[in-house]
Amino acid sequence: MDEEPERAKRWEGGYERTWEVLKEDESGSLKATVEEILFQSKRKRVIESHGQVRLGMMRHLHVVIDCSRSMDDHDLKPNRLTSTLKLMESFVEEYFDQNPISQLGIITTKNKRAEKLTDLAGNPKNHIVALKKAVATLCVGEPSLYNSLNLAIQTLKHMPGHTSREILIVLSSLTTCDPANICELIKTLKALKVRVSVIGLSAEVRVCTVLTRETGGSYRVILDESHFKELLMLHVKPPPASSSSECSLIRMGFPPHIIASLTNQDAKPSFSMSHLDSSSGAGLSLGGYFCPQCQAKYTELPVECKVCDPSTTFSRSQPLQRVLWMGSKTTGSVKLVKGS
Amino acid sequence: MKLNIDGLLVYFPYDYIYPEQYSYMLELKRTLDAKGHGVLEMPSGTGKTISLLSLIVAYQKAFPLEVTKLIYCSRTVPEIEKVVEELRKLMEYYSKQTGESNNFLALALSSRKNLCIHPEVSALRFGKEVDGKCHTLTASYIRAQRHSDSSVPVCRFYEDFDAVGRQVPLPAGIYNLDDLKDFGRRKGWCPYYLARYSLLHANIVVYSYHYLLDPKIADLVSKELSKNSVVVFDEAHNIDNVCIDSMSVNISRRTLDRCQANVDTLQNTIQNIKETDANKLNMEYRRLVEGLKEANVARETDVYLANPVLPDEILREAVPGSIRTAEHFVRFLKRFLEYLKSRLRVHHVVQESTPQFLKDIFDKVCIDRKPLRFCAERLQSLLRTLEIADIADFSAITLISNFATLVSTYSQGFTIIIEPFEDRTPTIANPVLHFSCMDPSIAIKPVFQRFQSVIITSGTLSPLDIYPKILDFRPVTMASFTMTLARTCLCPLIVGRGNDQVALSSKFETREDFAVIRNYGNLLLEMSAVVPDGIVAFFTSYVYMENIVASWYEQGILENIQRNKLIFIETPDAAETSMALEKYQEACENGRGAILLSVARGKVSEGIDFVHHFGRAVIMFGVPYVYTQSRILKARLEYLRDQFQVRENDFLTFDAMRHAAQCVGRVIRGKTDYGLMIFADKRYARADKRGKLPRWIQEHITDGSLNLTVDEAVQLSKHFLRQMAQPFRQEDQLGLSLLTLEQLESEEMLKKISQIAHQS
Repeated sequence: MDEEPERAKRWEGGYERTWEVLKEDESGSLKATVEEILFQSKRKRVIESHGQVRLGMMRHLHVVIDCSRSMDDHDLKPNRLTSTLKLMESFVEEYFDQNPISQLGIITTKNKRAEKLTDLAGNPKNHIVALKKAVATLCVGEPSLYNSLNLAIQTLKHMPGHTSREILIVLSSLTTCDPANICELIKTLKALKVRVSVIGLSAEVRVCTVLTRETGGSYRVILDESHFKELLMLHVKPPPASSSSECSLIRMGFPPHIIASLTNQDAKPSFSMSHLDSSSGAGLSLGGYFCPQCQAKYTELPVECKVCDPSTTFSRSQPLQRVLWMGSKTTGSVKLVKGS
Repeated sequence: MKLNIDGLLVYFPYDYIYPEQYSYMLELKRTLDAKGHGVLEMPSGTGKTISLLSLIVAYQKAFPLEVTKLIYCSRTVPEIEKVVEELRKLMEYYSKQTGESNNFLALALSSRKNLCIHPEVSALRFGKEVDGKCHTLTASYIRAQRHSDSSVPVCRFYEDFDAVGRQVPLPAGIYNLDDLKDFGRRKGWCPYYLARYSLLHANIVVYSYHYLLDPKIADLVSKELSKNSVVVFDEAHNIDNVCIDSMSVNISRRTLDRCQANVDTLQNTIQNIKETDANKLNMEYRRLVEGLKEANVARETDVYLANPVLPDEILREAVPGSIRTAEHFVRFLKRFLEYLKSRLRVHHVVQESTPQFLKDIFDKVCIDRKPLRFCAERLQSLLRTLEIADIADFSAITLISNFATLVSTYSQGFTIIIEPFEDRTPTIANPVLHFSCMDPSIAIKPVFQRFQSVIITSGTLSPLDIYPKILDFRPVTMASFTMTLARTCLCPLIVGRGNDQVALSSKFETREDFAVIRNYGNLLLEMSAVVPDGIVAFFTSYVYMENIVASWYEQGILENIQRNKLIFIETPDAAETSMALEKYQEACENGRGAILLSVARGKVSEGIDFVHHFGRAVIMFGVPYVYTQSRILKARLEYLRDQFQVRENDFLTFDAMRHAAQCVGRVIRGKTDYGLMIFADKRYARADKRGKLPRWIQEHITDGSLNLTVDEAVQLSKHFLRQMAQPFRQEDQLGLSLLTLEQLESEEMLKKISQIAHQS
């Protein structure tokens, strides 16, 4: 054993050794390696970003979370379920941040059944609350791919053609208990243009490979928790829109965020519109987002302006803000300008 | 891709080449240059077949006089078809590159059952039936009868072929079995006889081992093949067993009963013929006096492949007087039969050598050695004379007469064992006379002697040096190639202990041990939870499997496993097994996951590939030693020790390890494939076992993967499977395990390649 000091001992095989990645430089500082790691990941993102592609902007995504027996496994800390739900929370937030006019729904599957945790909706708060509650779920039985896909299709198939229909499955189990042949269902998914992506928590399962290949999604298997997060975040970015998807026009507003400081004489405190219907204490504040049409102020961005035109959709997404079509009408999918 | 292999221009029909393929071709070229024999081991899934074909075809084109024919022997019909498809690809590439139309004739040959196009005959289900029925339609005297009586049915395909088929050779091209049938249908010729006839001028012949090794078939089909042919035995790790089987005879009481019926029929027919056409018998008598001289003439000119059943000496002599007339011969057979019957009436096991047997037969029924030796020939002659159409009915008597000839010809290398009952069922009398060949070199000797180059190749031939020993030949090249990999796609693990530290082993003493069985169950259960899709588990024997599975059932382990995966079991019944296999594959396909419990040395372990998701892990429960108490095996071991200085233990371990290697080799069928190989027996960790695994498996066994507990194995497997599930593209392989022409020709790579071949 002494000849190979860098090799992990057998009994340590299953544990992460994150500290080994870090190496001190001459001065004993870790800064260099940390920066190196950050740089690497940044570089990777740049390389992976596509050139000029149309991205689908209005997304309807169903996230299927496996809650079967295998989620009790302790290889992610403290166990797979808790870790997954935790990451899912940040995913939900990030998702609505980047896809403000999109919707998301969560399905759980265990004991050969699939259940809706939350319906397809645009408010991150509900989802996060539901996810927090789900930590207490008992992980039992086998998951059912068929049932969960079927459940997701029931709502997705009614979504309009200019929006994307997506399913993201976080699958821990290596088996699925299905009431019928899944190959038929895959054909249906393909016909409905539902894109199914899978993140595997344990190993590559054939049926998922087929499922994702047929429907045009991606299939990746995690190595560890940080890789899991990385893979999950890949799904935050809208997927390229298929050229066959229909287009229709929607109004889109890009409210500028104005930060007023107390030293600024012109700044006047005002009420925020977002507190209109919430019972929590409405207060005066200085800065906020301002509707480009009616100048109504919001401390928190809603999906649409409550004052002027309910059909104007707001966006705080960074890539979208760079697009120079402020306040004008635009299509459901937006052309991204490269290099900005 | 055009390659320069040691000065020879080789067309290779793919854009990329594996380094080991190049190395393999270099070795092969050396063997052909030396006009010698070779033993080459290269892992499955690295393109052995196409390397062999490209090089030998190039050699044939470059030196048409040195190598006139390639005889490619494979084991099963699907494998034969695969070879032909590769060949077709190669030939298409040739004609595309050179612009010339292809002038090569390559064809596959199989039994009548696979080639017959006669509407009634081909509808029959069993090979024997087809052969028999074909014979009744095509035998020469049947056809002679038809001249006088047109109501006698004949096969019109054969008639047409016989009339014109031989005059025009089969046009150049690549013919698989279906192509031959199509061609036959179009022309109205019998594809089987057409193929057999075309063997003589074909450049490449692909057929099964038996056409060369089984003396009875080889005599019919292969004896006129040209001397400067190259013979390739693919998947040859079991070639010694094929040789032995082809020379061994088992006689049970049922065989003798059927034989008795045969003899009676013979007698009646002779009686009838004597009354109607005595002349015929006289003619035969005269011919037999002349002796088998004609055959002798043919052999001297070296046109024929020597027939080990019919040794040279016989041909020079006339048939001895005592069996020359038909009646005498039948009486002789009867006596011989009675003697065998009396020998089967034993109550204890008898083992004797062939000289002992001959002495005994002389003492008891006064049968001399000489007439016995002519028995097989004499019977053939008689059957011809009597115009007995349905040869299939006479298989029993043919068997006995072959036995008579063999037993009187070879004083060495054979043993006779008479067992009154099977070991497992000592109360049921079922006497069997085993006439068992112990020396595989007898059957294969004519092949080595006759053909200039014989290549023995397989994915698992380790240790290489044992094959030349037991087959008794001297190879000019022996090499083992490893698989160059861009990522370690195989993960051999040796699990030696359970989680409770109980040593895992299938050895006899602990076979019934509850703790071992439980731990084996635990291993399978844990693995079923972490391995996706298909797992194949091999046991050492059916009996052992039954015991273990029953015990698992009682302990509730099976139930737990079934939550993760479905369980299928291989049985000795072929139909049941293929059904199980089909369902197994379906379960792997649709995500349910499945486990196939099967037996080393069984059908699954030899012929079925578990590509990609059909086999992500193989678990080998125990070391698959052959049943060591068998008397035939004991005799063979003794013989090996005396004749070839192979120690008993060495041979047993070798045999066990080659089967283990075959079993675990089922999962890796290519470089993009990946799989776990779990050896669940602590004995695998020993150097003598480990050292006998093929090099391409051995080099991945590290110190860290020896003597693991179940938990450790699970940890390692999880890690391995996650690694392997990461995206793997072709670009990752390029330059490492997959080369373009430029990369191949770089100085550095050539140096690396020279290290791949491991000479021993």
